[in-house]
Amino acid sequence: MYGWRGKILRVDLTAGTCTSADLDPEVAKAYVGGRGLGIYFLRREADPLVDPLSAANPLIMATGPLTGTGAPTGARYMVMTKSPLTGAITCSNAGGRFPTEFKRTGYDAIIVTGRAATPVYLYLDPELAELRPADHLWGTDTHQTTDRLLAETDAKARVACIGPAGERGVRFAAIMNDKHRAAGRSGVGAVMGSKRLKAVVVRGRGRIPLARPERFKAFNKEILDIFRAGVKETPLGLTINGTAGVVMATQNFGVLPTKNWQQGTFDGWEKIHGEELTRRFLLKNAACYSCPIGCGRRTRVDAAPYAGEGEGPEYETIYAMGSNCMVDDLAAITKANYICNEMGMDTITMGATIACAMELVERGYLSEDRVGRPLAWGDADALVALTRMTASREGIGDLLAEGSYRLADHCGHPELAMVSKKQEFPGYEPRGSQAMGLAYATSPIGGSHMRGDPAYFELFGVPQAMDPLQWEGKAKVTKAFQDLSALIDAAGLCIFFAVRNLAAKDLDVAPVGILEYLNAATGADYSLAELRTAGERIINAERLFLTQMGFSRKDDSLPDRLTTAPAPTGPAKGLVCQLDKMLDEYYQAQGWSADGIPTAERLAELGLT
Amino acid sequence: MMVTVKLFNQLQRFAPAGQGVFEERLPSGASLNDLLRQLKIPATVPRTTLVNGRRVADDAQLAANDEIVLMSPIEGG
Repeated sequence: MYGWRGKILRVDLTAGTCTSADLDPEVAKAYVGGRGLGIYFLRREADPLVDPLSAANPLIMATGPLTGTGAPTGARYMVMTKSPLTGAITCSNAGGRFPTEFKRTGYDAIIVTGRAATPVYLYLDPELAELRPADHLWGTDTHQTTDRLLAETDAKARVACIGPAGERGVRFAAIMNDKHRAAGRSGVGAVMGSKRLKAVVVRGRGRIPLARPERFKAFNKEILDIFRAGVKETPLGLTINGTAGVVMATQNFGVLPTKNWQQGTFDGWEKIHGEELTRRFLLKNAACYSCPIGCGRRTRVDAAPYAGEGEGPEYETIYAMGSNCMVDDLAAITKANYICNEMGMDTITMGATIACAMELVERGYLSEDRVGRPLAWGDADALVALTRMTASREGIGDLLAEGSYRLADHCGHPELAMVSKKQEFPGYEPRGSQAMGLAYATSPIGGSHMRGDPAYFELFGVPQAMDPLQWEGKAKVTKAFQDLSALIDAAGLCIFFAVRNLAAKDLDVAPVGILEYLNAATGADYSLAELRTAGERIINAERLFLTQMGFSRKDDSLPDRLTTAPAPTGPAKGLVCQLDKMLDEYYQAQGWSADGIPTAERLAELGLT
Repeated sequence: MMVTVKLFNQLQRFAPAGQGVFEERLPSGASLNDLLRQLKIPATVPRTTLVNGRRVADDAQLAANDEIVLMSPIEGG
């Protein structure tokens, strides 16, 4: 096969075996790769009702056909499993260098099942796949683990691993690769920890064979020439200030979540904005494999008490740990980010859970005695201390490690958890960004911006601008954008490049650039209609699996705060998110019942059973 | 009439006195296009434009005390 490698590695941790299997070309074409292959294998391997932290829950890592090919931002892989945070599926995505090295081993995907008796890591190269003891690594952080594994295997290998948070079952533990890149969301690291799998080490060789290398090269040049001419004229905000530059936009649109989502504007925003990050802490940009943008931030904080060095923070971290906690100390946010990277935790859920705890304390539903320290809005020291305590499940950290929903529920006020399907939101307020609310509610993984990100058309104006305060007409375009996102995730690309450079303005024909790349790489001769259908197939396969888990319209929800309490500040002042109205239109656009269940007719069209 | 203008990132270079946030006097009934001309911001410079927090067309009419935000395009998250 071209583009794809044609092989799957099955790892049975209980038996201690690694076996190679062929990838069916028809399955590859129908599900593309990455997120698509992930849901295909998850549905085959997992009982929908499986306990996420049991041995029976499979953990799937999958690259896409464009991963490692040299297509711009073709650097990503996807982790699919059942989430211990949400009880729904995960599809957590990361870039860096690990996914390309993984694919260069000759495998498209790894399916991990069972549980090892004692800690192990997987070593994989084109000739060898074996499980090795990892007792000596258990308890070490992600940076130490990576350094030690590179020293004892191959300095040119790449490592994805969990930290102490994953070992201790923190429900939002991440899998970190290349030290700083995170498959961050929904607790994929806790699933890996429950299997006693500390790390995956990959060492590949050679290039990914392409079906039409000349065509691929010519199209690649065409796309990059246009991109480079554009950034010569107007340098990309993402390159200059990283995703942290988005703070300025969300503040001005009035959608920067503040004080546990009580409002969408933050008076201290200029202190946590990307320009401040660049001015104070940036050492250099960091880029994933084959990425012309370089949005990553290599940073260092020199001054005590928050001194440290690493990567980040991203915009989502700054919202969750900054405005949402009313913390305007960028050094503290950056330090808490470093701790999350080293311990292996999701920064969004971490920050949002601390914000929730701050509100619970303010309202008298959680005592400071129980917290073990004062916990007022804006307390930067508390942010850093509680992040550390969560990673080790020490004191109140044991409760915070359960995420904001279980924390608020434990205190008798689940309505104060700002979640959908028990997963915390990224940083765009749905009262002032209506389609974002619909995307959160219908995302298969709960609160997320990466499974269809309406901030693109509502706030960033790409591929075309729409009024963020209007709910009318948003259902159809959100559905189309989710389909496009599924293809980006399946191909192995990054949304930051693909939406602006590989998608048409008309979302009905959106994936035109992805189509060109895929056909040149794989030779699969997708038509545009076939490719769009593949995106819809992925979304519907995920939805079908969710319905078998018991999810339906009742779970496509937002907290009452966002749907009944009018926004108090900013352009959205007086508005609520009109979720119910959008949901009716959305289900129609999907061909699902009024309760959000895919109809038999729709499933048959997509070849799903 | 007076309006408040906020210029961010690469648009700041068009601030008359170097400060990104300033008050600007415009003839009564002026449009956003009139403001852009007055500030010498070429049509070719990419920007996101908000008037009182709403995205508007360049021919939109302005009113006294409006807040106009001009920022370079940004994306990510």
